Amino acid sequence: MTSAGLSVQGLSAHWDDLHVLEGLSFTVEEGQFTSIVGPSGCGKSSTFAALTGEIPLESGNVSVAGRPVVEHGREFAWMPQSGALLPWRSALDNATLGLELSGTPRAQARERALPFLEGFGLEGFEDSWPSELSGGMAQRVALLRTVLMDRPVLLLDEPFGALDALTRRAMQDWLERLWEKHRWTVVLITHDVREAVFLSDRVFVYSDRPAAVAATVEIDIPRPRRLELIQTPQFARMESEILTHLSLPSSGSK
Amino acid sequence: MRRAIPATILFLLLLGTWQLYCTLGHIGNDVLPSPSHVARAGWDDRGDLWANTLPTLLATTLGFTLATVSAFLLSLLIDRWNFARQAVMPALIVSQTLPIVVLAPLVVIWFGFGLTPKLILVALVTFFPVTVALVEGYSTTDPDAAALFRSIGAGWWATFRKLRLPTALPSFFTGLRIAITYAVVATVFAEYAGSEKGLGIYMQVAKNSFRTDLVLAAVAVTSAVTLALFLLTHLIERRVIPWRTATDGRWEGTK
Repeated sequence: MTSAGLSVQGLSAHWDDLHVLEGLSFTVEEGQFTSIVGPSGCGKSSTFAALTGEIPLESGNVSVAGRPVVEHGREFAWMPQSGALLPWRSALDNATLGLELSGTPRAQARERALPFLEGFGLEGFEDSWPSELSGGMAQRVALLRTVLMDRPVLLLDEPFGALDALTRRAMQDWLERLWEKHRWTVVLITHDVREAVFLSDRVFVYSDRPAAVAATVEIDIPRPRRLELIQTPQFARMESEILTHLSLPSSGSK
Repeated sequence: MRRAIPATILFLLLLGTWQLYCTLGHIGNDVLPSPSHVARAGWDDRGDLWANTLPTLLATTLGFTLATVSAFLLSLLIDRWNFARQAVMPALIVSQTLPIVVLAPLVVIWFGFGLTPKLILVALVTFFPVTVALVEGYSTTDPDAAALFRSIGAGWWATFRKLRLPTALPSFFTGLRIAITYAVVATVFAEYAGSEKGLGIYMQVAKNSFRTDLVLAAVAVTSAVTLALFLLTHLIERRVIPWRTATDGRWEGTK
């Protein structure tokens, strides 16, 4: 067993008056891809809000790479669902925003971003405004911004949630290939069970609010994984196991 | 340029009606001079008119710059400390309830015939719309982007400079355009109440000697100056907010 990239123990929190997390515990190993699936509004995003310090913790411990997280900020690179690109910054300047805000000089930040442009399919679009980018491209810029921050754990909140089905498939395939190369420690929130199975080593199924982990499903499908995998019986079995935990009919991709 | 055609037609139509009314109705030039007469009188007196336009323009741009810089500084305080907002906003609103026509002569009594009363009046009328535009612009900041900045660990100043201020720019320019249309009129008010030079005092003197044609010529110059400044804010906006020019169709309407 590898070392714990992220360990969450007994997290409880309120978001305003809403009791969102209750005794939430899970472990993500370093270099592992993990997904969180669960009913709408169950507290998936609240998990990230609690980790990044957006909502205060009432109880519980969080540790990253074995060290307890005391002050929030430097452990997690968070990507909001909307991508939150700044319309007045070019694609490249958006990608380097995280670095710049963490104190890296602009020129140096740009230099760090350049080698990634090809892999992220952004070559030739460095100077485009976000409003000129396609939906998938905009999310890749946001993902590059998240990755470039070079923080131990990536928190991705439904990065492909707003994309059309075809683009989403292409993005999943792309992210899988990219991840195989870089092996980041990732926690991905998604409502797409197929996406969770395809990308993850481990899937946490959340209960209704207040959220806790209702089931953990290990996805022991070897990598590299390609889209054809979706049609295999092994994949279908994993998918239906998660759907059972979610108590949803096992047909369809929800 | 094509979009200016309907406005130009309407403008010419109005001038034509006015001209016909004067010619056919045999109205005396000392009561209502025709547009052609006003143009001729203004042209004949162009040296004097120009000499009085410059001080007005100077006072307007100076007062306006002063107001904009102070509005920015104040908006910063308001954005940083809620206490400042609660303290200042009511005072700002009250400043807009003051009847400027009555105030102008008083300010001249207090500060004399020089530049100061003009600056004060211009600042008084333009400060408010610019401040409000900035403060309301800040509040339209994308909550996701704000959360992103917090998650990265950005401080207040970095968040302000790189997120809240750019967010507020479109709103700021809207406020700027509203304010600039008040600014020239405010200067003219101040000059009308008493001044050594300027379009306002020019109108005052012309009126007192029953030169309605020269009064109207000065009015036309005032409008032209306001219009020019208004267009200038558009030009600056395009330079400062290039990302909106790229895709936002709203720009098309202003060409």
